Amino acid sequence: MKHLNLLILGGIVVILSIVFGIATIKVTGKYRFERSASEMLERVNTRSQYLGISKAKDLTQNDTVTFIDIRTPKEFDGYHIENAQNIPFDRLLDDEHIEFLKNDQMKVLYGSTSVGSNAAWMILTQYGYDNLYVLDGGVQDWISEVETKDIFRDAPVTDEAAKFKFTEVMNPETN
Amino acid sequence: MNTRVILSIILISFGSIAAILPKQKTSSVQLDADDLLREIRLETNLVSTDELADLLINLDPGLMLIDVRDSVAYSKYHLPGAINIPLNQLLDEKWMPYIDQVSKNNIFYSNGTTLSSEAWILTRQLGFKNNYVLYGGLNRWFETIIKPSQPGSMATSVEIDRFNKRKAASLYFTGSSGASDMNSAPALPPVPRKKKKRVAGGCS
Repeated sequence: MKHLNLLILGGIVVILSIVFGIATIKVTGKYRFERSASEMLERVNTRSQYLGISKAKDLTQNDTVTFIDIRTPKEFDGYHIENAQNIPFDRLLDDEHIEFLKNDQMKVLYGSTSVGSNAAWMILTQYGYDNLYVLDGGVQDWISEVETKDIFRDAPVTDEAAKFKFTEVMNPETN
Repeated sequence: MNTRVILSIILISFGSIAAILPKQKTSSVQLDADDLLREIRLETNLVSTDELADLLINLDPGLMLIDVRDSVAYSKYHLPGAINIPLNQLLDEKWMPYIDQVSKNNIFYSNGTTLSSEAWILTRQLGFKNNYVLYGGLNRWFETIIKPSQPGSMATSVEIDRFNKRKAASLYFTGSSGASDMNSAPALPPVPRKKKKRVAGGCS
Protein backbone atom coordinates (compact mmCIF):
# COMPACT_ATOMS: atom_id res chain seq x y z
CA MET A 1 0.00 0.00 0.00
CA LYS A 2 2.90 2.36 0.69
CA HIS A 3 3.90 2.16 -2.99
CA LEU A 4 0.38 3.07 -4.07
CA ASN A 5 0.40 6.19 -1.86
CA LEU A 6 3.69 7.34 -3.37
CA LEU A 7 2.31 6.76 -6.83
CA ILE A 8 -0.79 8.83 -6.09
CA LEU A 9 1.35 11.60 -4.62
CA GLY A 10 3.54 11.53 -7.71
CA GLY A 11 0.48 11.70 -9.95
CA ILE A 12 -0.87 14.73 -8.08
CA VAL A 13 2.47 16.52 -8.39
CA VAL A 14 2.58 15.85 -12.15
CA ILE A 15 -1.00 17.08 -12.67
CA LEU A 16 -0.38 20.20 -10.57
CA SER A 17 2.76 21.08 -12.51
CA ILE A 18 0.93 20.66 -15.83
CA VAL A 19 -1.92 22.89 -14.60
CA PHE A 20 0.64 25.47 -13.45
CA GLY A 21 2.41 25.32 -16.82
CA ILE A 22 -0.81 25.89 -18.75
CA ALA A 23 -1.85 28.73 -16.45
CA THR A 24 1.40 30.64 -17.00
CA ILE A 25 1.43 30.43 -20.82
CA LYS A 26 1.10 33.96 -22.14
CA VAL A 27 -2.17 34.42 -23.95
CA THR A 28 -1.30 36.07 -27.27
CA GLY A 29 -4.49 35.16 -29.10
CA LYS A 30 -5.66 38.44 -30.52
CA TYR A 31 -2.60 39.87 -32.25
CA ARG A 32 -0.66 36.68 -32.91
CA PHE A 33 1.75 36.77 -35.89
CA GLU A 34 0.47 34.74 -38.82
CA ARG A 35 3.74 34.73 -40.76
CA SER A 36 7.10 33.49 -39.55
CA ALA A 37 10.23 35.66 -39.51
CA SER A 38 11.76 33.72 -42.42
CA GLU A 39 8.61 34.13 -44.53
CA MET A 40 8.76 37.85 -43.76
CA LEU A 41 12.43 38.05 -44.72
CA GLU A 42 11.60 36.51 -48.11
CA ARG A 43 8.89 39.12 -48.68
CA VAL A 44 11.12 41.96 -47.49
CA ASN A 45 13.84 40.90 -49.93
CA THR A 46 11.53 41.18 -52.93
CA ARG A 47 10.88 44.86 -52.09
CA SER A 48 7.56 44.48 -53.91
CA GLN A 49 5.74 46.51 -51.24
CA TYR A 50 7.29 49.78 -52.45
CA LEU A 51 5.48 52.11 -54.81
CA GLY A 52 7.33 54.95 -56.48
CA ILE A 53 5.83 58.45 -56.46
CA SER A 54 4.75 58.51 -60.13
CA LYS A 55 3.04 55.12 -59.94
CA ALA A 56 1.33 56.17 -56.72
CA LYS A 57 0.16 59.39 -58.37
CA ASP A 58 -1.59 57.36 -61.07
CA LEU A 59 -3.29 55.31 -58.38
CA THR A 60 -4.86 58.39 -56.77
CA GLN A 61 -7.25 58.37 -59.78
CA ASN A 62 -8.34 54.84 -58.91
CA ASP A 63 -11.39 54.72 -56.62
CA THR A 64 -10.60 51.23 -55.32
CA VAL A 65 -7.22 52.29 -53.94
CA THR A 66 -7.08 53.96 -50.52
CA PHE A 67 -4.15 55.98 -49.26
CA ILE A 68 -3.57 55.63 -45.52
CA ASP A 69 -1.73 58.40 -43.71
CA ILE A 70 -0.04 56.97 -40.58
CA ARG A 71 1.16 60.32 -39.21
CA THR A 72 -0.48 62.14 -36.30
CA PRO A 73 -3.89 63.84 -36.83
CA LYS A 74 -2.12 67.21 -36.53
CA GLU A 75 0.31 66.39 -39.33
CA PHE A 76 -2.57 64.97 -41.36
CA ASP A 77 -4.57 68.20 -40.96
CA GLY A 78 -1.54 70.22 -42.04
CA TYR A 79 -1.20 68.39 -45.35
CA HIS A 80 -2.34 65.07 -46.72
CA ILE A 81 -2.71 63.29 -50.03
CA GLU A 82 -6.16 63.86 -51.53
CA ASN A 83 -8.83 61.47 -50.22
CA ALA A 84 -6.36 59.80 -47.86
CA GLN A 85 -7.57 58.40 -44.56
CA ASN A 86 -5.74 59.09 -41.32
CA ILE A 87 -4.89 56.06 -39.18
CA PRO A 88 -2.06 57.11 -36.86
CA PHE A 89 0.66 54.49 -36.42
CA ASP A 90 -0.25 53.70 -32.80
CA ARG A 91 -3.92 53.13 -33.72
CA LEU A 92 -3.26 50.67 -36.56
CA LEU A 93 -4.43 47.63 -34.60
CA ASP A 94 -7.52 49.28 -33.11
CA ASP A 95 -10.68 47.24 -33.73
CA GLU A 96 -12.36 49.96 -35.79
CA HIS A 97 -9.43 50.16 -38.24
CA ILE A 98 -8.39 46.56 -38.43
CA GLU A 99 -11.65 45.50 -40.14
CA PHE A 100 -11.24 48.22 -42.76
CA LEU A 101 -7.57 47.41 -43.36
CA LYS A 102 -8.43 43.73 -43.73
CA ASN A 103 -10.65 43.99 -46.84
CA ASP A 104 -9.17 43.01 -50.18
CA GLN A 105 -8.89 46.47 -51.68
CA MET A 106 -5.43 47.88 -52.28
CA LYS A 107 -4.14 50.25 -49.63
CA VAL A 108 -1.06 52.45 -49.78
CA LEU A 109 0.52 53.31 -46.44
CA TYR A 110 2.50 56.52 -46.15
CA GLY A 111 4.22 58.63 -43.49
CA SER A 112 6.72 61.49 -43.53
CA THR A 113 9.33 59.14 -45.01
CA SER A 114 8.92 55.46 -45.79
CA VAL A 115 10.58 54.16 -42.60
CA GLY A 116 7.48 54.30 -40.37
CA SER A 117 5.10 53.14 -43.07
CA ASN A 118 7.39 50.22 -43.86
CA ALA A 119 7.35 49.23 -40.17
CA ALA A 120 3.53 49.45 -40.29
CA TRP A 121 3.57 47.31 -43.44
CA MET A 122 5.77 44.72 -41.72
CA ILE A 123 3.59 44.50 -38.62
CA LEU A 124 0.35 44.19 -40.60
CA THR A 125 1.88 41.70 -43.05
CA GLN A 126 3.27 39.61 -40.18
CA TYR A 127 -0.26 39.77 -38.81
CA GLY A 128 -1.51 38.21 -42.05
CA TYR A 129 -2.54 41.01 -44.43
CA ASP A 130 -1.76 40.93 -48.15
CA ASN A 131 -3.21 44.05 -49.71
CA LEU A 132 -0.85 46.72 -48.38
CA TYR A 133 1.84 48.81 -50.07
CA VAL A 134 4.30 51.49 -48.97
CA LEU A 135 4.75 54.88 -50.62
CA ASP A 136 8.49 55.21 -51.21
CA GLY A 137 9.86 58.54 -49.98
CA GLY A 138 6.67 59.39 -48.08
CA VAL A 139 5.03 62.81 -47.96
CA GLN A 140 8.42 64.53 -48.05
CA ASP A 141 9.19 63.27 -51.55
CA TRP A 142 5.54 63.51 -52.60
CA ILE A 143 5.54 67.26 -51.89
CA SER A 144 8.89 67.91 -53.54
CA GLU A 145 7.78 65.60 -56.43
CA VAL A 146 11.06 63.71 -56.32
CA GLU A 147 11.11 61.08 -59.02
CA THR A 148 12.42 57.95 -57.31
CA LYS A 149 12.90 55.71 -60.34
CA ASP A 150 16.58 56.54 -60.81
CA ILE A 151 17.44 55.98 -57.18
CA PHE A 152 15.97 52.48 -57.35
CA ARG A 153 18.88 51.44 -59.56
CA ASP A 154 21.40 51.36 -56.73
CA ALA A 155 19.23 51.31 -53.60
CA PRO A 156 16.18 49.27 -52.65
CA VAL A 157 14.39 52.39 -51.38
CA THR A 158 15.01 56.12 -51.43
CA ASP A 159 15.80 56.04 -47.71
CA GLU A 160 18.67 53.64 -48.38
CA ALA A 161 20.30 55.67 -51.18
CA ALA A 162 23.76 56.76 -50.04
CA LYS A 163 23.99 60.54 -49.77
CA PHE A 164 27.79 60.54 -49.67
CA LYS A 165 30.62 58.66 -51.30
CA PHE A 166 31.65 57.29 -47.92
CA THR A 167 35.10 56.08 -48.97
CA GLU A 168 36.05 59.36 -50.62
CA VAL A 169 34.92 61.41 -47.63
CA MET A 170 36.99 59.24 -45.30
CA ASN A 171 40.11 59.11 -47.52
CA PRO A 172 40.23 62.38 -49.45
CA GLU A 173 43.97 62.05 -50.22
CA THR A 174 43.54 58.87 -52.28
CA ASN A 175 41.44 60.64 -54.92
CA MET B 1 -8.44 -3.06 -12.93
CA ASN B 2 -5.65 -2.39 -10.49
CA THR B 3 -5.43 1.30 -9.42
CA ARG B 4 -1.69 1.14 -9.83
CA VAL B 5 -2.00 0.11 -13.47
CA ILE B 6 -4.49 2.93 -14.17
CA LEU B 7 -2.18 5.48 -12.55
CA SER B 8 0.79 4.21 -14.53
CA ILE B 9 -1.18 4.52 -17.74
CA ILE B 10 -2.11 8.13 -16.86
CA LEU B 11 1.50 9.02 -16.05
CA ILE B 12 2.82 7.41 -19.21
CA SER B 13 0.28 9.19 -21.37
CA PHE B 14 1.23 12.54 -19.78
CA GLY B 15 4.84 11.71 -20.49
CA SER B 16 4.17 10.95 -24.13
CA ILE B 17 2.13 14.15 -24.56
CA ALA B 18 5.02 16.11 -23.08
CA ALA B 19 7.39 14.38 -25.50
CA ILE B 20 5.21 15.19 -28.53
CA LEU B 21 4.71 18.88 -27.64
CA PRO B 22 6.84 21.25 -29.77
CA LYS B 23 10.11 22.32 -28.26
CA GLN B 24 9.83 25.77 -26.70
CA LYS B 25 12.76 28.09 -27.26
CA THR B 26 13.84 29.39 -23.89
CA SER B 27 15.29 32.58 -25.38
CA SER B 28 12.14 33.86 -27.00
CA VAL B 29 9.27 35.40 -25.18
CA GLN B 30 6.47 35.21 -27.70
CA LEU B 31 5.60 38.70 -28.90
CA ASP B 32 2.50 39.71 -30.80
CA ALA B 33 1.78 42.48 -33.31
CA ASP B 34 0.52 44.81 -30.60
CA ASP B 35 3.73 44.49 -28.52
CA LEU B 36 5.83 45.20 -31.59
CA LEU B 37 3.75 48.25 -32.52
CA ARG B 38 4.17 49.66 -29.01
CA GLU B 39 7.94 49.12 -28.97
CA ILE B 40 8.37 50.83 -32.34
CA ARG B 41 6.18 53.76 -31.30
CA LEU B 42 8.19 54.29 -28.09
CA GLU B 43 11.40 54.28 -30.21
CA THR B 44 13.35 52.51 -27.48
CA ASN B 45 15.14 50.57 -30.23
CA LEU B 46 16.75 53.66 -31.76
CA VAL B 47 20.31 54.80 -31.07
CA SER B 48 21.32 58.29 -32.25
CA THR B 49 24.53 58.99 -34.14
CA ASP B 50 25.73 61.10 -31.17
CA GLU B 51 25.18 58.17 -28.79
CA LEU B 52 27.05 55.85 -31.17
CA ALA B 53 29.97 58.30 -31.42
CA ASP B 54 30.24 58.25 -27.60
CA LEU B 55 30.18 54.45 -27.52
CA LEU B 56 32.89 54.17 -30.19
CA ILE B 57 35.14 56.83 -28.64
CA ASN B 58 34.86 55.17 -25.22
CA LEU B 59 35.65 51.80 -26.86
CA ASP B 60 32.56 50.36 -25.17
CA PRO B 61 33.26 46.62 -24.84
CA GLY B 62 29.54 45.77 -24.96
CA LEU B 63 29.07 47.30 -28.41
CA MET B 64 28.65 45.20 -31.55
CA LEU B 65 27.98 47.04 -34.81
CA ILE B 66 26.21 45.02 -37.48
CA ASP B 67 26.20 46.29 -41.07
CA VAL B 68 23.12 44.81 -42.77
CA ARG B 69 23.93 46.12 -46.27
CA ASP B 70 25.31 43.78 -48.93
CA SER B 71 28.94 42.69 -48.84
CA VAL B 72 29.97 45.03 -51.69
CA ALA B 73 28.76 48.13 -49.82
CA TYR B 74 30.35 46.80 -46.62
CA SER B 75 33.75 46.20 -48.19
CA LYS B 76 33.78 49.71 -49.68
CA TYR B 77 33.11 51.37 -46.35
CA HIS B 78 31.91 50.31 -42.91
CA LEU B 79 31.94 51.74 -39.43
CA PRO B 80 34.93 50.88 -37.17
CA GLY B 81 34.69 47.33 -35.81
CA ALA B 82 31.44 46.51 -37.65
CA ILE B 83 30.70 43.00 -38.87
CA ASN B 84 28.66 42.33 -42.01
CA ILE B 85 25.39 40.38 -41.87
CA PRO B 86 23.56 41.18 -45.14
CA LEU B 87 19.83 41.43 -44.46
CA ASN B 88 18.99 38.54 -46.78
CA GLN B 89 21.22 36.24 -44.69
CA LEU B 90 20.04 37.55 -41.31
CA LEU B 91 18.24 34.38 -40.26
CA ASP B 92 20.97 31.97 -41.39
CA GLU B 93 21.98 29.57 -38.64
CA LYS B 94 25.58 30.84 -38.59
CA TRP B 95 24.51 34.33 -37.48
CA MET B 96 22.30 33.17 -34.61
CA PRO B 97 25.10 33.42 -32.01
CA TYR B 98 25.43 37.10 -32.99
CA ILE B 99 21.80 38.17 -33.07
CA ASP B 100 20.41 35.95 -30.29
CA GLN B 101 22.68 36.53 -27.32
CA VAL B 102 22.84 38.34 -24.00
CA SER B 103 26.44 39.54 -23.72
CA LYS B 104 26.54 42.42 -26.25
CA ASN B 105 24.38 45.28 -27.47
CA ASN B 106 24.02 44.97 -31.23
CA ILE B 107 23.39 48.06 -33.31
CA PHE B 108 22.09 47.36 -36.81
CA TYR B 109 22.88 49.97 -39.43
CA SER B 110 22.47 50.57 -43.18
CA ASN B 111 22.62 53.69 -45.37
CA GLY B 112 19.23 54.88 -44.11
CA THR B 113 16.92 53.44 -41.47
CA THR B 114 14.93 50.99 -43.63
CA LEU B 115 17.10 47.86 -43.84
CA SER B 116 18.22 48.19 -40.22
CA SER B 117 14.62 48.56 -38.98
CA GLU B 118 13.60 45.51 -40.99
CA ALA B 119 16.42 43.52 -39.39
CA TRP B 120 15.34 44.72 -35.96
CA ILE B 121 11.64 43.89 -36.49
CA LEU B 122 12.54 40.36 -37.64
CA THR B 123 14.79 39.68 -34.63
CA ARG B 124 12.17 41.14 -32.31
CA GLN B 125 9.47 38.93 -33.84
CA LEU B 126 11.70 36.01 -32.86
CA GLY B 127 11.88 37.38 -29.30
CA PHE B 128 15.61 38.26 -29.42
CA LYS B 129 16.81 41.05 -27.17
CA ASN B 130 19.81 43.41 -27.10
CA ASN B 131 19.36 44.57 -30.70
CA TYR B 132 19.11 48.26 -31.67
CA VAL B 133 18.92 50.44 -34.78
CA LEU B 134 21.21 53.34 -35.72
CA TYR B 135 18.68 56.10 -36.43
CA GLY B 136 19.40 57.66 -39.83
CA GLY B 137 22.16 55.15 -40.61
CA LEU B 138 25.39 56.02 -42.40
CA ASN B 139 23.80 59.01 -44.14
CA ARG B 140 23.03 60.63 -40.79
CA TRP B 141 26.39 59.51 -39.37
CA PHE B 142 28.16 61.46 -42.12
CA GLU B 143 25.80 64.44 -41.90
CA THR B 144 26.08 64.82 -38.12
CA ILE B 145 29.41 63.31 -37.02
CA ILE B 146 31.86 63.21 -39.94
CA LYS B 147 30.72 66.48 -41.57
CA PRO B 148 28.78 68.33 -38.86
CA SER B 149 27.26 71.63 -40.03
CA GLN B 150 28.12 74.83 -38.22
CA PRO B 151 25.15 76.15 -36.22
CA GLY B 152 23.78 79.50 -37.37
CA SER B 153 24.10 82.82 -35.51
CA MET B 154 20.80 82.18 -33.71
CA ALA B 155 22.04 78.87 -32.28
CA THR B 156 21.47 78.12 -28.61
CA SER B 157 24.36 77.17 -26.33
CA VAL B 158 23.11 73.58 -26.41
CA GLU B 159 23.42 73.52 -30.20
CA ILE B 160 26.89 75.08 -30.06
CA ASP B 161 28.03 72.56 -27.43
CA ARG B 162 26.70 69.73 -29.55
CA PHE B 163 28.48 71.06 -32.64
CA ASN B 164 31.79 71.33 -30.75
CA LYS B 165 31.40 67.78 -29.50
CA ARG B 166 30.61 66.54 -33.00
CA LYS B 167 33.59 68.42 -34.43
CA ALA B 168 35.86 66.69 -31.91
CA ALA B 169 34.28 63.33 -32.73
CA SER B 170 34.79 64.03 -36.45
CA LEU B 171 38.50 64.64 -35.83
CA TYR B 172 38.67 61.41 -33.85
CA PHE B 173 37.11 59.37 -36.66
CA THR B 174 38.82 61.05 -39.63
CA GLY B 175 42.11 61.93 -37.91
CA SER B 176 45.23 59.80 -38.10
CA SER B 177 44.62 56.80 -40.32
CA GLY B 178 46.72 54.59 -38.01
CA ALA B 179 44.24 54.92 -35.17
CA SER B 180 41.25 54.16 -37.35
CA ASP B 181 42.96 51.10 -38.81
CA MET B 182 43.42 49.82 -35.30
CA ASN B 183 39.71 50.09 -34.65
CA SER B 184 38.46 48.71 -37.91
CA ALA B 185 39.19 45.03 -37.29
CA PRO B 186 35.86 43.19 -37.11
CA ALA B 187 34.85 42.20 -33.61
CA LEU B 188 34.95 38.62 -32.44
CA PRO B 189 31.66 36.77 -32.06
CA PRO B 190 30.02 37.03 -28.66
CA VAL B 191 29.85 34.07 -26.32
CA PRO B 192 27.01 31.85 -27.57
CA ARG B 193 24.05 31.34 -25.27
CA LYS B 194 24.71 27.65 -24.93
CA LYS B 195 28.31 26.63 -24.78
CA LYS B 196 29.08 23.57 -26.79
CA LYS B 197 31.16 20.99 -25.03
CA ARG B 198 34.77 21.06 -26.07
CA VAL B 199 35.85 17.87 -27.78
CA ALA B 200 38.04 16.00 -25.36
CA GLY B 201 41.04 13.86 -26.17
CA GLY B 202 43.01 13.73 -29.40
CA CYS B 203 46.74 14.24 -29.75
CA SER B 204 48.38 17.62 -29.34
